[in-house]
Amino acid sequence: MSPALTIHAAVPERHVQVDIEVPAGRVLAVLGANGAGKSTVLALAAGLVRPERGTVTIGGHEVAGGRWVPPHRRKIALLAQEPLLLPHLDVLANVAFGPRAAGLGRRQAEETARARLREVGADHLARRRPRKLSGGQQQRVALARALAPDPQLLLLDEPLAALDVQAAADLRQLLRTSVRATGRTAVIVTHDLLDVLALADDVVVLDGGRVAEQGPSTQLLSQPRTDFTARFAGVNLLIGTRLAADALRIGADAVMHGLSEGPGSSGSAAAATFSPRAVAVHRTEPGGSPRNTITVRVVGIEQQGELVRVRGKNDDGAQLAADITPASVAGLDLALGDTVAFVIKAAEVRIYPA
Amino acid sequence: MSTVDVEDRTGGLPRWAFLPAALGVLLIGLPALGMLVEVPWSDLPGLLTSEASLAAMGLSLRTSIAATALAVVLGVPLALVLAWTRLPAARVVRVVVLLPLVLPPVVSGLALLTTFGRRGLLGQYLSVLGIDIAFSTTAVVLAQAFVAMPFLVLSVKGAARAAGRRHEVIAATLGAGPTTVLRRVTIPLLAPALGSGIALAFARCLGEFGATLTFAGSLQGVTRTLPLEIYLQRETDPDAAIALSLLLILLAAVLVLLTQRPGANRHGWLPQPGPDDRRRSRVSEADRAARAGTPGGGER
Repeated sequence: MSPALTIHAAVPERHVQVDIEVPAGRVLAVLGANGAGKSTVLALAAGLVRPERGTVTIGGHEVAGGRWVPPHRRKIALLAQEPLLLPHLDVLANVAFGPRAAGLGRRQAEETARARLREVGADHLARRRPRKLSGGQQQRVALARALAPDPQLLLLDEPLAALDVQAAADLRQLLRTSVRATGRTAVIVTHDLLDVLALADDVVVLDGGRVAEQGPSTQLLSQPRTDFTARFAGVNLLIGTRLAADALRIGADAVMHGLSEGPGSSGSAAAATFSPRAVAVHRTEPGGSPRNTITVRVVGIEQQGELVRVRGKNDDGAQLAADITPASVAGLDLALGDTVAFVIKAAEVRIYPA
Repeated sequence: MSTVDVEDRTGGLPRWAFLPAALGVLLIGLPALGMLVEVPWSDLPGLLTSEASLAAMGLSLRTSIAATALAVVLGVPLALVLAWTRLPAARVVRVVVLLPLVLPPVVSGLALLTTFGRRGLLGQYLSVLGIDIAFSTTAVVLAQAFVAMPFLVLSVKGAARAAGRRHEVIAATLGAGPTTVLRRVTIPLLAPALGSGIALAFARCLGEFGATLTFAGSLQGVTRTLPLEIYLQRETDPDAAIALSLLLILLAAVLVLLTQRPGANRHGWLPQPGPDDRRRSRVSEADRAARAGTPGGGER
């Protein structure tokens, strides 16, 4: 079966050139820093941007490239950060908008709309005006509206970013049941790890308009290969060359020891990851059992939950984080610019091919 | 209300600023009051129902409605084109459209006459076909539409610009074609601005004098609208002129009031009525949060 969405296209104006495929029934998360091209990818799928080169297909049909299919004929739905409900229509009429546009009569369209509203738990709001609803309720209705025309492809542009924590959690759960569990194909742009964990089967990481990394989300998050993904997954990442199955050369002379995950011959590129909590911070290099020691300059000290995150840069410019207790920070008398040793037990380091 | 807003009734302005402000109000309000004093109240019914008055009123109403309709039919699409498309000649078009706002009406009338007049650019061909526009009721409508359309265009364009195309984009992804989007999304969303634009344009039509006189002349029942009738009566029957003026002032006041309805001119072209917060409080939490960060950041 052909993929539900393929984008092999370039938009030089926005410095974007990507090759992305989404198999039917899967949810793809698009990650990346601001300006990495995430919105452009959605716009290419939605038909809001024309690629200068390449093609876009939806459900096996070309929608951009040789021929052009405008947004309203693409059988897609877009759920943005803002609910963007039509203020002059009540909730029911908003949800019925898509079915009506598809040519259904008013009654039939409203029946569909009611069913969708029930699915999102908002049928009691049917006769309300959008401006009378809370942000979470509005976004729920917007989701019902997006699903009402039964789109082939659902495009989600940071749909939870404008909501408060509780409303976001509720809607995330709702998306999980109404999108992922029903086998819909969707693309979600997000900055939130929770969205990826709850919703995404696959992940694409964009950097500077190019695909930096892609794969199944569990694999990408557990074995990140780019700084962005590592930071997103909340782990430290160092890239180097393998000396042995369980050792990695970083930069000129530093060596990381760890547990090998996945094969790799010596000399091949490899990645080492470890949690910020596995990092101990010392003023001077300690001795003792085989340890990994990285000398860094402290570039950031921030509160991170009940711990303090100390960010350091090594000689190669790689940024590493250590989460230590406030008491340790006080005991070390840490300040920005200090040179300290980050020490990581080998048992806490995972090494895999990069 | 945030702490940096001025809650003092004086708005934090120096006291002396209220003097010129009050004089400004007087400059406009006093003449209106002065005329009210002169109104021959007891003769009013007779003066307003004279044959000439009724003819002028009827004509003004008919032509103003027709001209406003023409301005809407042409002006709304024009406003949307100016607001949302990247025309190569957008600057030139904008200047052309706004020209009637700043031209002396008599010049507008002359321009119309030299175009649609019997020997004019278009008029000479129309004349061959047996169509003479100048000095007809059609000419009145054209003159009024000419001077009134910019008000409508500005009002709608400003609102369309401010509103952006976000709702339209969503509607398109829901399967609505461009015409459906225009009909079911754009026009309803712009209704407040459209309403105030219509009121302004209609008021301008009612008051049109110079262009009408130059292009259409002053023939009772055919081209002699209320302002022309007033100007004429001023010499022969000042009381009638004042009575009709009163009528126009009242109409104008009602129309301006319509454009100042709370919310009528949201994102519109005219300055907002009343304190800003009232409007702000009507915007929902979500809207506000959303506005704080548009999706996709600077990528669009």
